[in-house]
Order: sequence, then C-alpha cells, then structure tokens
Amino acid sequence: MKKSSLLVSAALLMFAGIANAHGPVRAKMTASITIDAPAAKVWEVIKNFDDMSWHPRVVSVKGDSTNKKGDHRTLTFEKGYTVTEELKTHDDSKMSYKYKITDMSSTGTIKHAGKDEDIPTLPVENYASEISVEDKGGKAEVEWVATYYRAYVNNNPPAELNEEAADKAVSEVLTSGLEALAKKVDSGSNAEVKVVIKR
Amino acid sequence: MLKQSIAAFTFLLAFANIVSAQPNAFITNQLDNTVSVIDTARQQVINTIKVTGKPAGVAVNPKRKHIYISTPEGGGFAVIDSQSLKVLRAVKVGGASLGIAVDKAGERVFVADWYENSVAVFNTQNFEKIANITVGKSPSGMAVSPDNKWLYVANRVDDSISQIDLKKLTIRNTTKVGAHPFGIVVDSKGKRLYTANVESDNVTVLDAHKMKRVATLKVGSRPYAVALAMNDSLLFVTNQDDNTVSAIDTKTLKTLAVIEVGDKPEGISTHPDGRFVYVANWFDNNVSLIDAKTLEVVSTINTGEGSRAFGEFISP
Repeated sequence: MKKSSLLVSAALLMFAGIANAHGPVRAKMTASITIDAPAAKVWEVIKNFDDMSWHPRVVSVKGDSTNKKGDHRTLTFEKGYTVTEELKTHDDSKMSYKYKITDMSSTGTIKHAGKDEDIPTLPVENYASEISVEDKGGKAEVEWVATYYRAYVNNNPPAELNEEAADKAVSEVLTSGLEALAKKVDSGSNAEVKVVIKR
Repeated sequence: MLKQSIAAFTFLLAFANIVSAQPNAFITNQLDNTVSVIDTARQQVINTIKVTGKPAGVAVNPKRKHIYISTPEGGGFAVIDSQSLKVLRAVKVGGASLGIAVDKAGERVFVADWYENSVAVFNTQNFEKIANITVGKSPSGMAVSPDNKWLYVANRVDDSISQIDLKKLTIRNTTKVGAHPFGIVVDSKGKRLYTANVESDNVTVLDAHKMKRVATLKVGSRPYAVALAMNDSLLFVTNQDDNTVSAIDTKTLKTLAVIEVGDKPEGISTHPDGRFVYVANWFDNNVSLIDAKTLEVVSTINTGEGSRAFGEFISP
C-alpha cells in the first residue's frame, strides 16, 4: 500500500512540471495489479457494468444490467456526488469492458479568469476507460486504463482543474479500486498497484 | 557461417530497397517519442525514428524531401529526410507547436502555436523565421489551397477558421464554424473546406474562397480530423469517442457508412492513389487502413504508443 502510493506520487511529481507547459493534452493512466486467483474468478466480480460494489469509494450504483453497448450507470460517491457512465464495449471472452463518463455532478465552484468554473466530481474532461483481466500463469492480472484531459479546457488552468488535480483524483479511484478488488478475491492479498501515467 | 553472412547481406539489401520505397506514411507516436514509418506498398513498419518532445503533427515536403514533425513539448519541429529517414535538425519555434503544414511550392513551412495564438512561417531551405502571424485562440489544424494562395487555420477556442493571404502573410477573412474546430482539409480544386468540430460533434462545410458556410453535417462523438478520398467524392472523419470513421458523400452530403476502427482514432490521411485511407488510433497504438472503395478496414498495422499523426502524413 505504502509502496504503491509512493510510486504514484513520484509519477505525479514527474508530470506536474511538464503538464503546465502546454494546453490540454490527453493523459493515459495504466493501473495494474496481479492477484493470486484465477482470472475468471476476478472477472466474475467486476464484469457486471451495474455492479461496482467491489469499489470502496462507490457508495451505490444504479444502472442498466444488459452489459451491452449503450448501458448507463450512475455511481454515487461520498457526500452524494455522482458520475454517470456509458458502456462502450463489453467482451466476456476477452474479460474486458470499455466505458466513458457522460455526466458528473459539481462539487463546488471557483472563480478563475473572471468566470465561474464548476469543479466536477472527478476533475477531468472527456474521460474514457477500459478494465480488463488477463490470465498470467494461473494468476489474474487486472489492468485499468483511463484516458482523460484535465477539467479546464483553455490555457492556464487553476490548481483545482489542472493536470495534477486530474492525475491525483484518477489514480486514487483506480488504485483504491484495484486494491479492494484484490482483497475481495484473495483476503490475504497485499498485492501492489502499479501506476504509469503518460501524456 | 558463410551461409549466415550471405543471408544477412541479402536481408540488408532487401532492407535498403524497402527504405527507399515510396510512398511512406509517417505516424507520430506521442507517448513513445517516436515516428513509425509505414511502407504503404507492404503495409509494414519499416523504421521507427526517435523524435523527442511528444511528436504530434506531420507535414510532408516532396520538393525538399523533408518530413516535418511538430513537437508540442519541445516548442518546435523536427526535420526528417524522407529518403534516409534520419532526423536532420530540430527547429525551435516557441510555446507549444502542434498544427503544421507546407506551402504547395515546398518553400515555406507553417507552424501553429497553441499557446501563443500565432502561426510562425519558416523558410524550408535555411529554416529561418520569415514571419509570425497572429491568429485566433489555440490554432490547431491547417491546410493550404491547391493554388498556393491561401493558408487556412482552425482557431480551436475561437470556433473559427482564418484565411491567410500567402503573399501578404496577413489574415484576409475569419469565419465562425462549429465548436472547437481541430482538423481541416481543403479539396483539390480549392473550392470547399471541411472542418472537424470536436465539441459540437459535426463537420462544417465552407466555401473555401468566400469563406461562407455551405452546410453543417452531424458526425460521431468528438470528431478530430478529416480527409478526402476518391477524387474528393468522399470525406472521412475520425470520431475519437466512438472508435469510428464517418464516410460522407461530398455531393449529397449524406453519411454513407460509419466504419469501426481502433480506439481513439485521431490523425487521418489519404494515400496519393486516392483510394486507401490511413487512420491513427491513439488508444490502440495502431493504424487502421480503410479501402475507400468498399468502405471497409482492410488492414491494421501496429505502430507505437499514442499514435496521433495530425496532418497530412503520407509522402507522395
């Protein structure tokens, strides 16, 4: 747990300087964990798009249950903040699904460059993601890839809506989710989440 | 041993032939800091060139046998020899260079600066800066008219296209289009201009001379760039968030097909034969090849991480 957090902060630090140098650039964050359990068993826990009970930050989820393209789900986080997502692809044989965020609640407003700017639940823009499980010699490798822009689309973002804020929030969601998933499937697990950010 | 050397020698010989084969597609892999060179006769990557600074945009200059690669993080562009596939030099521009285009004579290269809201003009012989033209906010895609009179620039944040007089190097006209235009293309007669509008999920068709809006076409989610094929009769649009390419009949302005490609399709360019269309898939790290005749994907070529290839990326 400690080690993985350190890795994340090192990655964040590395990118913070670069990120401010230009306009919004799409980031690709890859979070992965190897769980000592059969891949199919892990997939069974996460495969239903309307079931996020394995994720500790998600208080409740409401959504369509067909696992087909176009399904929607609304996740409720702490304090009632919400994120609505749409299923893009779902492939049982590949043990993978892809989705994107279509709507988010606002957690507050800040004044920046003379305008009111909403701070969304996740301070990101145009977020899309894929979660997949792969068999690696009897163990399950879970990979959660998120692509997103910072929330502020124009140049010179405020701190609440810059790349650093986006990376921090997304890595928190991915890391805590994968850690909890590992514990759920293999209660003795102390597997570490590896996070790589590229943009 | 001898057999091996002969084999190696034959291989080298074969390789030398491949390198000089044309046309080639130059795919920027932004997250890898590389450019994949695809031999379009064999649909294979024949070389991977290291280019630092998060390479994004591509422009080709047949006259000088140059390929220009914009490097947003390096604030400039790299010059690649289209024959030897070696980086000849890096040219410093300023803030964050993204869109890049060459005039039809091959004499000047234009570099849009996302941050400085300007287009820098460089001489392609000595790479000295000729001019700096102030345009709209966050200039991105650019295109040059076939008669070499006009340079068009998409001002992303201003939702507009500027038409620049290439003799005077000043703006002649600016027209509003859809929300956040990014990639643009002008047809081979210089009559029509098409813009991919990222935020409004549509394409604006402009009269390229008068700069008047002719039509607005609904496409997929977050269109990124556009390319023309089959003698300008078909327009192809990459829909980033749908993993598709829209194929539109430019006469009737109707969508003929929505073609499934890789994830996050971005840059798109048509082979000089007018038939095969190359699409860079950012998320999937590959290129989809579409046959414009059948409107089907006929091949998928693995490239590098974060394939973007923004601009005209196939050398004739």
